[in-house]
Amino acid sequence: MPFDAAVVAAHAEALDAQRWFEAAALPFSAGEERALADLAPRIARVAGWAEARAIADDARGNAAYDADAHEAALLNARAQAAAGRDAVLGALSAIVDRGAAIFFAAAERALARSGLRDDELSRVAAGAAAEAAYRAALADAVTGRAHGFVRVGACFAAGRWPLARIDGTLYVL
Amino acid sequence: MDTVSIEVHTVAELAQAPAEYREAAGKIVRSHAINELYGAQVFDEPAVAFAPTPYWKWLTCRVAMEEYGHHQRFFRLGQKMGIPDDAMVPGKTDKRPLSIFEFTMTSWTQFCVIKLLADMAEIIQVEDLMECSFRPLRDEAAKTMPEEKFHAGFGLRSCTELCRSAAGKLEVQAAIDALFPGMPAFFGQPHSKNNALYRKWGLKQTTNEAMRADYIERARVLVEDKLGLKLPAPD
Repeated sequence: MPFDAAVVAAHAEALDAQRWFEAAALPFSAGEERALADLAPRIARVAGWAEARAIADDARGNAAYDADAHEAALLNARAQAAAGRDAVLGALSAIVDRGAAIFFAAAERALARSGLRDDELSRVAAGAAAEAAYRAALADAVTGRAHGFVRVGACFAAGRWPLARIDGTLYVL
Repeated sequence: MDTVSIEVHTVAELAQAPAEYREAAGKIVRSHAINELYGAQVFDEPAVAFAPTPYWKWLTCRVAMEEYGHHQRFFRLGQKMGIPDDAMVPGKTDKRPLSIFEFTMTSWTQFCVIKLLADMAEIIQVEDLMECSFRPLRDEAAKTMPEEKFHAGFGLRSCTELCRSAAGKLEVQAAIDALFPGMPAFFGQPHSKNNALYRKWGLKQTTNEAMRADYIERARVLVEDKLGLKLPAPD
């Protein structure tokens, strides 16, 4: 499948309209539970930012993170083989450019709703959202919407933060 | 060299400024555009793989985005000034990035030390630009400053954390020994003609020598007073 830059552009265009971190720490709806069940055998809700920080900082999450990074590298290589390096990076830069302010501001607002201000944790959350949005756009443009990265991206876009997969359990703020 | 009292408020006004001023302002903008991007490419992006947990990987990812954002700020200013795009992108221009980027980073500890020492050097440069006679450049410098300060603070916090163990302390010292001697070169040669020209036109306020001395003293405070380690001699 060739790399479809228009798909990436559509992801970038939609960034403003998403609910980044708005549902953080809230109970899951029935619809969310169904959607999350596609992502891991077990889902654990994380009920606060301090716990989220601790789970994100757990080295047991590295195996799943590294597997995702490897998959992202493969997708990038496929995209660049199909469309050329400059075209792929140019298209995906729109996610970074448009998302930079959006993700950070959304994370700051979400922390503030919990009575918190934490420049570092806001950046960690913004970095996670940016990475997920980038990978979702890339995967959608290369393989289509069935890819797991697209579902993880949708989870972020719906206001959640999937923090780590550890021993078959996905921890979600 | 005598100084000239001038303030250029907008890019449109720049067209009326003397050719020497326009050229000097362009050199500074190009340098920042090139080095912000190159630093993100050779240090920040690769550091994501070295980071010890997803928390630090995402933080590093965000820091890389912010450094890239700084490149974009200077790049867009350069475009408005009429600088060709390729002249502001490393690999597409003959102008080489700063020599500190030749340092081969091989570990998370080294990245933390880079944030500690290299971003502090960047802060000193940006502080100087905040009094720049070319207002659009001054404004961009002011906008990047809070993030530069966060990056340097991240360097200090992460190095402090690493220094809690004896082994970590040794690693941080080894990284400082490897990185620091080449760092003062960041500020350019003494008696630099370019720097003299920048000061003549109020684009910069401080000599390379004075910035270098300021940097070495601030680095000493960080490394010796705050971390309890030893600052090696510069090259």
